[in-house]
Amino acid sequence: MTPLEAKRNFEHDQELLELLPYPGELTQSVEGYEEIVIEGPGASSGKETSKLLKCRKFGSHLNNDDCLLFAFSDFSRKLLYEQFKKKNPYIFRNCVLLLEETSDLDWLVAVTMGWIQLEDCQIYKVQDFDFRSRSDLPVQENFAIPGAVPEVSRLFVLLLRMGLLNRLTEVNQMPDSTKLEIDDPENVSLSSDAGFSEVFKRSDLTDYLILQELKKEYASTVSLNSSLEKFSNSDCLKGLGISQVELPAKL
Amino acid sequence: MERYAEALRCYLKDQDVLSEFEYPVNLGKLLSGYSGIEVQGAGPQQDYGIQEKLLKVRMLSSHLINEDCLIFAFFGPHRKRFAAKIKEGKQYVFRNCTIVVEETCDLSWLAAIPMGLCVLENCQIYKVQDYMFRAYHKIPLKLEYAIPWAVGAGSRLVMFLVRMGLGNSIRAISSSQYCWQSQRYAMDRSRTVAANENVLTIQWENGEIQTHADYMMGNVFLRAFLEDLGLQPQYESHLNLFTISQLLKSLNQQAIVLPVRMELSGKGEVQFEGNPGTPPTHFRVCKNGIPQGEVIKRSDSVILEQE
Repeated sequence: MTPLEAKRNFEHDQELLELLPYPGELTQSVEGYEEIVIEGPGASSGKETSKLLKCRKFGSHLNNDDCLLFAFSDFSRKLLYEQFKKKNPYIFRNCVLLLEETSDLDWLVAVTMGWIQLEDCQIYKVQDFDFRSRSDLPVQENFAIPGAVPEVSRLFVLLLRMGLLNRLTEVNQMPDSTKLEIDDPENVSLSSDAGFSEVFKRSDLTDYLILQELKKEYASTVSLNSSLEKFSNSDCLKGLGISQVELPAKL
Repeated sequence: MERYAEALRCYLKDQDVLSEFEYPVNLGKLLSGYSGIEVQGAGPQQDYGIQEKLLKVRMLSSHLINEDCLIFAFFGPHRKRFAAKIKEGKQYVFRNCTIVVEETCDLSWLAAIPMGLCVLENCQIYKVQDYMFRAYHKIPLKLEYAIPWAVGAGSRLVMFLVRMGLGNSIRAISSSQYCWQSQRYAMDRSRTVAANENVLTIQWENGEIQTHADYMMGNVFLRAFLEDLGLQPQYESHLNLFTISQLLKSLNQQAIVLPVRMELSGKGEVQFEGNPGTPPTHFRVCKNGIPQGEVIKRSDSVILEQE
């Protein structure tokens, strides 16, 4: 999302945002859950218990029961419509939705149109740290999520911000590399010393490296599962053509 | 031009929603049980003492409580109006209504429903085409479902009804001259006028009237339009004290352009001629995509009342 789009969404959706509360003590909303797992797009922990809260990006999975969902940046209601047309609609049951103030809230139209099921969900808003800093808007640190490089590391930062990191046990990142083309500049071909070779999105590689840095920085004992595990960090850095990744300033 | 760009943005953004709505085939069936139509613009309504049961036709966010209404939703800050009422502890309600949305109307107001900004119960939603927008962007249109633009909300509703074949059922119009803005200027002379508000004062033998320039234009348009169509609904306005010519003079306008007959009652497809990216000046009716007959100039229907 460009800074201009963020500004447009923020201004356009003010009247809806005004109606939404900040999560306050989010720990209360997720009180009954003993364990939290992060499930990136296409990833699943494979666990199913009523004490497990799955933390996902809004729109990354079709069936969402007992989830903490974070809606940010590139989500579009078009996804919801496409699935509805395929007679396989998105379902959200017993979920907590956190909407970043700069995400496009037009997906709520899909609720009116009956394209998705939204049952027993609580909806909150959070601040977009980077947007507010850039626009000289006041920031309330308890509710402001700094931008981390895409997807899964963003979810890690969200849990950190919301004081839920101590319940996080697993991070699952399973980037799909099957349909990627090597001549796309957004993609990178990765080779390992062990002889593996696969194509990945640059953003997924960065995401993986940042997750490792975050884990280290916050001394988290979380189990990090990724389809990139078979490659070493230096393989990934080499693929990206950089010498190291840097975390944002103190989160 | 900005309005055409905004219309294009809404039209493209809302294609998914629009594709789920049908075009209205027979709105005349809504008249069953009614002896005619009352077009209700914004603001307090005029009581004409009509005893018959009339179907109320309104714009989407002009009235708070809407039951058994035919609603035409076109360009306007609908969601913002819904939100403003919630802050006052009130809520827009639409019950048993038929809502016809223009394809260039920003449909983000539909996102207000799950947020509780308005209530929508037992309503049917249809779509129609935006005539001028399609013409400007040279997008093919079907005359049966394309509503030409008009000056002012009240006259747009009349235009919509004429296009839908319901013009002859209009019994009364209570339109924008009663809306809150002109009332505000009539009652509160001390109010500071914002720089972008074009408020004019018209002198007459018994005093003066202050009103917005666009309401004057709306009144001129509606009177000329009704006369041109030979319609005579109940329609009163304090601006009716002045001749069309006097009002045009106050507005520093020479003439107004009414839609041509083809735009109001024609069927089939239309092809536009003229420069791309400019308002249409000419068009021709098509059959299977092939232009038929003579070029029709939009300026053929200019109306100017001479002294």
